[in-house]
Amino acid sequence: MFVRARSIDADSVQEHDVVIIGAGAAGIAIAREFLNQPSISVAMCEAGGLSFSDRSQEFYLGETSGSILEKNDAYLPSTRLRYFGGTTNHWHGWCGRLDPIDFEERPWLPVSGWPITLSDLEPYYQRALPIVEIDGIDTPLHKLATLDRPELLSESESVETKIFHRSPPTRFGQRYRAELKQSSNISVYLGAPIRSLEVDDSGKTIGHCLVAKGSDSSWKIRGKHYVLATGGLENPRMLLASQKRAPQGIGNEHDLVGRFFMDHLQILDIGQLILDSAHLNNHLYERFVHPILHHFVVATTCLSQAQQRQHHLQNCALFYLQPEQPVGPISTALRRALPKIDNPLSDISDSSPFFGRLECRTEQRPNRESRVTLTNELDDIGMPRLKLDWRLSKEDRESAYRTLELIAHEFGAQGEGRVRVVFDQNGPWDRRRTFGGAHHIGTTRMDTRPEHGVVNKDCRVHSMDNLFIAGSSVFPTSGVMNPTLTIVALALRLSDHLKGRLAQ
Amino acid sequence: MKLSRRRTLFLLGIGVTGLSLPIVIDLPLLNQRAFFDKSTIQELSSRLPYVPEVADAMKKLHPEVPLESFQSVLNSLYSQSRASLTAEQTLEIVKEKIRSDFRSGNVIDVAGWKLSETEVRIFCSQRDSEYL
Repeated sequence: MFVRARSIDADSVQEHDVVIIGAGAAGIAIAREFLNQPSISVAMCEAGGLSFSDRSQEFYLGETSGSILEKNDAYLPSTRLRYFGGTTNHWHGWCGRLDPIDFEERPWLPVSGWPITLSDLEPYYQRALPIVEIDGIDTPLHKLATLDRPELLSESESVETKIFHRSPPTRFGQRYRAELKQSSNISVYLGAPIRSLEVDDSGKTIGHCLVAKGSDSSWKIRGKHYVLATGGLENPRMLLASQKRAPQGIGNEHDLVGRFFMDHLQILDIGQLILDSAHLNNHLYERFVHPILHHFVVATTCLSQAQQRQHHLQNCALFYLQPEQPVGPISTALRRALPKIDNPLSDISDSSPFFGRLECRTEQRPNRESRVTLTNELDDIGMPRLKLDWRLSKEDRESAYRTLELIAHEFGAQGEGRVRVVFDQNGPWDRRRTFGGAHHIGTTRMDTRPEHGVVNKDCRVHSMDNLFIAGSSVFPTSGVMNPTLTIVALALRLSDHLKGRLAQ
Repeated sequence: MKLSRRRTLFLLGIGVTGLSLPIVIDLPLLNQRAFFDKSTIQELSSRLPYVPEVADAMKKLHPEVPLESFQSVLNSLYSQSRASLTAEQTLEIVKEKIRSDFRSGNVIDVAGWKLSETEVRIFCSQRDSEYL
């Protein structure tokens, strides 16, 4: 059922078994797991309403600094959405699995290594796929790459082709709204921003959450278990701002909350490519609806995991963009404007070697100094606004450069073309050509050791018996794939864990 | 497929006036067909002049390149083709040599382009060719 929070009396207490804070991909995926379990009462608190509003979005304003962010950059309010369905409301839909190497401890990457493996997560990936409404992501490459759409480089010991799949995209708030509304055991509180998590006298459990009712009053929501699922920026903000019993914030005994902020680095115009063979083209690498899968896919080129290990590199995917044929801008425009069948330039297009721009997406090296903190300014419900200091490292540049260089060598070795690297591995970060993927990762990282992670492998805050975190903030490293499918898979895994605890 | 000397110099990052100019990459400049075209190979196989001006530019950009050995290396590479190989066979030898360069890391950066040592040497040797 949906409950307008303004109808809740100030100072009242709402009791549930599970309290989920946040109604984005993670929160909704968890709540749905309890749809047919009437004996379990679930609350989901959404700070915003059912649709976008400027007033709600303004709660996301804060300070920014770092390698590529301007002061008061639009990054904070523009990369997430504060209403039912969360950031899935503007999600592009790209998703896929992380790679096995993403879960491994890589000695050249500090604090890398997940406490779980891809195999651990695989059953949950399978359950997550229908939730994001795609299937067929396991279709072998040889069935996807056809004579019309061949892969640019044959898979070898050095390179592999990675396919990104696109969900419709699933707007979780719209897609799952009706079933949540009709549910009798799930209460979705709308307009219910949590002001703080309150630790009880034991110091080890959350006793209740304070839900803001205007600027100076509140009501309480109480549960046996709490799941913080407000995204990679708000999760640490909430923990840091809940200081009543722990001045450093909840779960922050080892000064880890908010640290290791990462995003996927998108670097534009990192290189250029010509292909030797006219029969090759970049069609597989354009975003297109695949005739077998019936959803959008785009292919990229990556170094093999063996190459990443050998050269101590971060995971990175190379995208091929906008072929620019050598016939000049006017004829190019004509060729695009005219139907191919009547287009006298189509032969030129078909027979000319591809010449295109390269763009890369690279995993960011975990960096302790890249972090979310709180400012002294309070928002309208009295929560400190956040400050994001997003730091990139020289190793991030070097890794991207070296990856492109090795792929360039592979183009030559396979006799398929030549690559020009226009990215200066030693230069400064260029704000015009480098930006994030709006994937907020790492700020409540997962590790079996409390001194290295905020949550354990069950996503429970180490120092709290009943507080769990869902979302990409628990990723210790980002990999190169978009995070939503992994967010949902981890949420389903957490749901199973909660069901087990509730059954005890 | 027509490469002008001016374009080649652009590729090398050297303006015709000797000033360093922004690199303007023109597709035909690096069209692989230009590298591998049979007539090019035939011409190269019969006439492999050394181009001091271009070689000097390459040397400034890439001091590690043993330019002084270009002539001998290319002579060695093409000596067989002059003797008995067909153009197709010569082409395959060149292609394999270039691929081998990439596999073994004999790669040279020319204004950002990752090129095999062999093909750079070919570039530097095409004086008076119609491709220059």
